Amino acid sequence: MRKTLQKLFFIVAVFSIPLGFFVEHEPGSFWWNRIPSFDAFVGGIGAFLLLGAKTLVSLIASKKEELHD
Amino acid sequence: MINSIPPALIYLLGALLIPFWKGKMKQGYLLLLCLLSLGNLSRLEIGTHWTFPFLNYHLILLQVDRLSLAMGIIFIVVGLMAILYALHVKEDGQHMAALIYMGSSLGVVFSGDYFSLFFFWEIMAIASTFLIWYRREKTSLEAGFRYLFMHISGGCILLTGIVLQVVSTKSILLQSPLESPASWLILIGFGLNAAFLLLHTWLPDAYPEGTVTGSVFLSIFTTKTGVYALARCFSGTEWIAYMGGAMALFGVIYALLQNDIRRLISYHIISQVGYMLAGIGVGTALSMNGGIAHLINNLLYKTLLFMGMGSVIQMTKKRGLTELGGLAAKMPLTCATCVIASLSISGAPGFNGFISKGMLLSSMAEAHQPWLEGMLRLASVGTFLSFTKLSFFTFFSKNDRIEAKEAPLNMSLPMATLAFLCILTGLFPGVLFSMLPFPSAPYHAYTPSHILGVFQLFLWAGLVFMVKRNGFTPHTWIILDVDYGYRQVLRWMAWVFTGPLNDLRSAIQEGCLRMVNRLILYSRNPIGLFRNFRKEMPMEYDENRYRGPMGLGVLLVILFLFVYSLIYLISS
Repeated sequence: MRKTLQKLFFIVAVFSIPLGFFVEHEPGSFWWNRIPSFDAFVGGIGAFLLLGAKTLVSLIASKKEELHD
Repeated sequence: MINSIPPALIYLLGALLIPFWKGKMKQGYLLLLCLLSLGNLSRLEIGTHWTFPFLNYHLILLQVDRLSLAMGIIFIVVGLMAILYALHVKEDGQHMAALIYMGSSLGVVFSGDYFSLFFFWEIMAIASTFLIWYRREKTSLEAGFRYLFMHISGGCILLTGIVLQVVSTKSILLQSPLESPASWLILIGFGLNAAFLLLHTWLPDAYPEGTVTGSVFLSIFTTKTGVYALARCFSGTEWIAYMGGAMALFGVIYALLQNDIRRLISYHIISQVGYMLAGIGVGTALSMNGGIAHLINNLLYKTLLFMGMGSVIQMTKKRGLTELGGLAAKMPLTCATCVIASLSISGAPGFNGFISKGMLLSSMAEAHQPWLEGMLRLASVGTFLSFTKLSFFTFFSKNDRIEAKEAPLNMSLPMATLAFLCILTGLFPGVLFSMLPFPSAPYHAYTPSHILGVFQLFLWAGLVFMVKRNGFTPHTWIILDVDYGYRQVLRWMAWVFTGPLNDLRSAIQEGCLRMVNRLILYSRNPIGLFRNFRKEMPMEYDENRYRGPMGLGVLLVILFLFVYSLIYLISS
């Protein structure tokens, strides 16, 4: 069940990309907002970037002792 | 005839009467106060003023315009929900602290001058501290003291700024201060409440340590009054916009690292306040509307999240993501409302966050702020990821050992109402737009590109969450914030003061004492100064020792006077 849901999620994500080519973008936005399916790129790359930032902060700032020692 | 009174008075005076009521009567009284306040609010008209003469000034206790009215409405409505949520609490003190806190926050919002604002500002800080202390645990007591220390320090800075401002302008009116040291001090004072980066540490430190109901109140008022004050006095200040962008990103990164469910959403307050400040800092009509709309929406879903997580803590007695899981079947209503709040805060179409986030992102494009747009968009990805993590590890991950049942009616009802309001304002944004300070700034949220863009962002960020789930798994480590650095600096300062500086003080004190003793002795025997200058210390007093020098001194004086008189007589 879980595997099926994951597969379905993946298929929907992939099929959302071509949809971006059929949608008109509002005037006045930045040039990168007019790239079809740019938000998918932001979502994927942004998630990796944030995961990297989270890992970096946890390397620098994590501690096993009591915070207010 | 008086049509309406300052809403603050209803709560502040009402709080004093709480100890006179018992049981169900007390619950009825609390709800009656809220209804009274709502009735009073409905009679408030834009332009209403209430002034009160004090010394040589006219304090403005009530000043109604579109901004203060919008804030007043949302504070009273969400405050009513919080009171309903806390109705089962037996301690009068908690109810009194909550009502005084709520009343003073309304006092800040409707103040028309700096002195009234400062008066209510400080009451707010003190009353809210009790909502932390009432948890009656060592960690709460300590966090409460740190919270109070930060807010009283901020209050002192604010007061200094206000006094300098009033002295230089001769006006106490609440308006944008001129660029001066006073304006910076006022900005720092307001910024501390709005949790500016580096001044934010009190928030994730204190909010998770409050009582279950107290944290709900805390999440509503303090930061939002800070945002309101900044919107009133510092709109269009560009660096506030960048501070907002940085807060939005910082908040989500730290939220992703948290295990404590209330600390996770506390970091999200910083992030969400960042969105509001970005809009206020940019200062266009659309961005200001976006900032205030986000504040209103945030009050609905953030309060709902604190209520939901409070219910989880109340019913399970657990607060770490590593201990929770499997609650979707045991607390279905709490689960459903928290998922609605998570979708709202992430900005999913159909929920209120979609409207205000869209307004803010559009306003960044309109104002040509590409960096801010990028920061806010990236923060949106982080918001979605951390609320996926929160919902998944609290409600949907497998945990057979957890014991829980649904929260009582007085806790569930406000959660359901707030969830309904999140959807209502998401589907019918006209309700929201009618409250905003600039009615002439149009915005259309439901465009195909906006809806598809948000779906794509969620789908691809969700894919990363599925693929790299281990990276998001909660752990029990403590994540240090900048206050750890502050504590190290303070410890170092304490060591410098008690160690080297204290030794220096002792050495100077000893040297001075030695010098005074010498002066005493030399004043008794000035000639000894020449005799003993390079030798040992002067000896003990011996009267025979001084007879010779004293006699010599007297003889010299007499001789001098004689010669002087002789010369004087001859010359005259």
